[in-house]
Amino acid sequence: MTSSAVVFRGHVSVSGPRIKETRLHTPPHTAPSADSAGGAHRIYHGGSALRYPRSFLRQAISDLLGSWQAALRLFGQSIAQKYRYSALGIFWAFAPAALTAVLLTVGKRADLTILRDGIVAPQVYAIFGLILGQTFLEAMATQRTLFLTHRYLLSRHQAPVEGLIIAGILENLFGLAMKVGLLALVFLQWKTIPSVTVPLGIFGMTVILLLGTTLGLLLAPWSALKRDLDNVMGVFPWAFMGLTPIFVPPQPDSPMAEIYRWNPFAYVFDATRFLTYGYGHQPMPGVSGSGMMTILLGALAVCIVLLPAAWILCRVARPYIVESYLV
Amino acid sequence: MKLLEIYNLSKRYCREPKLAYKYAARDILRETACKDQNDFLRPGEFWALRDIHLQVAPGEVVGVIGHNGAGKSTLINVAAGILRPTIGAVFVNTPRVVVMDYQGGLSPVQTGRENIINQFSLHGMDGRRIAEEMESVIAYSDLGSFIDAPVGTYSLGMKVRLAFSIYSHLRPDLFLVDEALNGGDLKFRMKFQRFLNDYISKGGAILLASHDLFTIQSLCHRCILMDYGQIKAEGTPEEIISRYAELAGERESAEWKEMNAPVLSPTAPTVEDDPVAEGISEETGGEIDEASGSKQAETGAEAVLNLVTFDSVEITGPDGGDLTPSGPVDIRVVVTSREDVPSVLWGIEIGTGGLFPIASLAGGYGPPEYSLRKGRNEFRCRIERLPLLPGKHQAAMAFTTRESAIILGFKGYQDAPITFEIKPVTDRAINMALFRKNLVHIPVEWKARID
Repeated sequence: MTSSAVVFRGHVSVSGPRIKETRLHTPPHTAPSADSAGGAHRIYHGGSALRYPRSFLRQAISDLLGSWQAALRLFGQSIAQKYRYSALGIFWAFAPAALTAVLLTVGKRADLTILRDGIVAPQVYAIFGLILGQTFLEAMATQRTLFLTHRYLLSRHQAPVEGLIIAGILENLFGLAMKVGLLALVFLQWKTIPSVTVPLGIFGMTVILLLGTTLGLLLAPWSALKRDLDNVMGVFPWAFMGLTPIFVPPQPDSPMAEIYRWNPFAYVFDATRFLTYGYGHQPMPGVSGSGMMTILLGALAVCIVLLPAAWILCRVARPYIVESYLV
Repeated sequence: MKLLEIYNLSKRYCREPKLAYKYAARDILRETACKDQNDFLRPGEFWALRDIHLQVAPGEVVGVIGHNGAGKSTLINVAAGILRPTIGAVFVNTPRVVVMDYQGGLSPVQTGRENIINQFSLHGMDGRRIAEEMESVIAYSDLGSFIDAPVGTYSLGMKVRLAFSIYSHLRPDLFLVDEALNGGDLKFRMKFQRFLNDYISKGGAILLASHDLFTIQSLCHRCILMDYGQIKAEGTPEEIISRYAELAGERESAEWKEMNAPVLSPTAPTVEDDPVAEGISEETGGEIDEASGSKQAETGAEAVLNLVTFDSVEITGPDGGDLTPSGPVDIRVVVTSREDVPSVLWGIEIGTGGLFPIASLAGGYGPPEYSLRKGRNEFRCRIERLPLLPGKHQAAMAFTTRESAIILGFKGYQDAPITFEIKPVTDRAINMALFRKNLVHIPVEWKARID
């Protein structure tokens, strides 16, 4: 490693009521700079890591690629733990959907107006919506609580945050796969024929999962630092379920339809429905059937832009969050 | 090439959780906006590390010692990349670095086996190698069937055994150790010690933060002493441990002064109770020393006559040299007496900085018998072997009447302290005694084992 006289900010002096900085231009010890120290495996310095984008990205990508093994194992253990400490195990993955089906069947027998058959049975509509809602909320919660869940690991190890993110995504994908299996049973029970674009419907579900992941990661640092967000998140799922067409389809010109028009998630959910059981489905007001794919691609584009940004945010935030745990 | 290079490293911390969270949020936003951290202290912050320069080469074991809060753990955490420096830089020139601590990053809800897999995965081992090493780790830890129980159900000793078994199989180039080399039962500790000795002999490097004198002395090639986030001294383990003990003594003295402990004074009969004293009192006007008398009044101790004043006190080694542990001590005192006093005692009390009396000596019971004459008087004595450990100590001196021990003059402790220093020596046994917070060191003639 070559030593060059690169200045590291070094010395402070106390003067007056506030401690002011004095920059040393000839520090007593010289060190290689973050850019020039190519031989170093890792460099931790006081400057913003993002000021050295090449080395930051090189390290981030290296961590991303190197953390797959750990991510796979964390994912496997997380699933095992989930069922180890639960008497009813996997039942809980299906419980909300099963309960919804029972309630809606009772409601339909009571001939409630909003539960009349459309293109699909109301049970199918509601369970499908519930699965989409659960997928989004679970993905968001998994990533939002990333730092808290792995606190023991992060405060004692240089565990790459990438491995923890990937483990969370894998866990959510596993949950989604289970739900898709449940959905197949629901379709069979209520004789619903999927459309030929059903693979795109699954793509839609994946986009919803990615939206939840992205939002969760963007919130993760703030959630780790302040518990206020936890309180907000206690209310958020209910608000989300209420403002998104999950349980019953929007009646045209109804006040709810107007609310849904302003909720971008409503379009993504509806596009996923349209692509899964397709023709005859009444799309969101103002959106044609052919526009549904554009909506999903638009949502995917949002994820492509924001997910790496959220990843970088979490990577930058990690040491500060660990530090706050040590106070 | 060094394995670890630390330059101009400073790290600030905030003590108040509310402010810490606020600063963390600001710092995250600042860094995301590509701005460097401000290098001044904000309200509630302090420098946990300040201008640290340190390098660790392959095959080298560097010890870090210091009192609680000196910055040892912070240094390990920054070197490990767990915390970010505020100023300066840390270069880690190997991918094979392992942080070792008591908890070992073990998850309490996962089984021992799962924890082994996790730790190995986090250190880049692939599935095949993990499978190869698994049985060896379990055997080393001696956990048997407990390996499939959640770690939260383990005793502390079992956790330590599991963590150390994992460490011993990771074979890194550099261990960063935070107070973690002891634990488990004796058999396991000896096994792990053998592993470390073998690791070092094969070129492994360790940065070891510890309070444990034995570990530091037995493993380290070099040592640094940290105090309030700064490197105070660097040298051989023996030198630095000795310096640490000295620093600890200074801190204790400072703390004692802050506490403003009550004055320790020899008890003596009151002036009114003693006819000899009364006589002297009448002749001299019976003045009470205001300096010591007022303090004693506060603490309830007895009055001191202002008959004898101390002009000088010297406590030195032979020929005015340094004092050494269990070495000879010469004491010389010059006093001025207002009156002739036929029969007196010269009392010396030796104590710690915190005024804990260790020994009380009295000269004049004879021979020789002492007396004071009006004017200047000089007295000397020698302690052949003063069994005190290195550090700063205190003495108090008094001249009293022989029969009733009325205090004619007193010097020492609070208002007029007499301090003397036993100089540190690089002796392992003495260092050990210092770390055990012993007060005295008793020289022993050790005999060979009788077979």
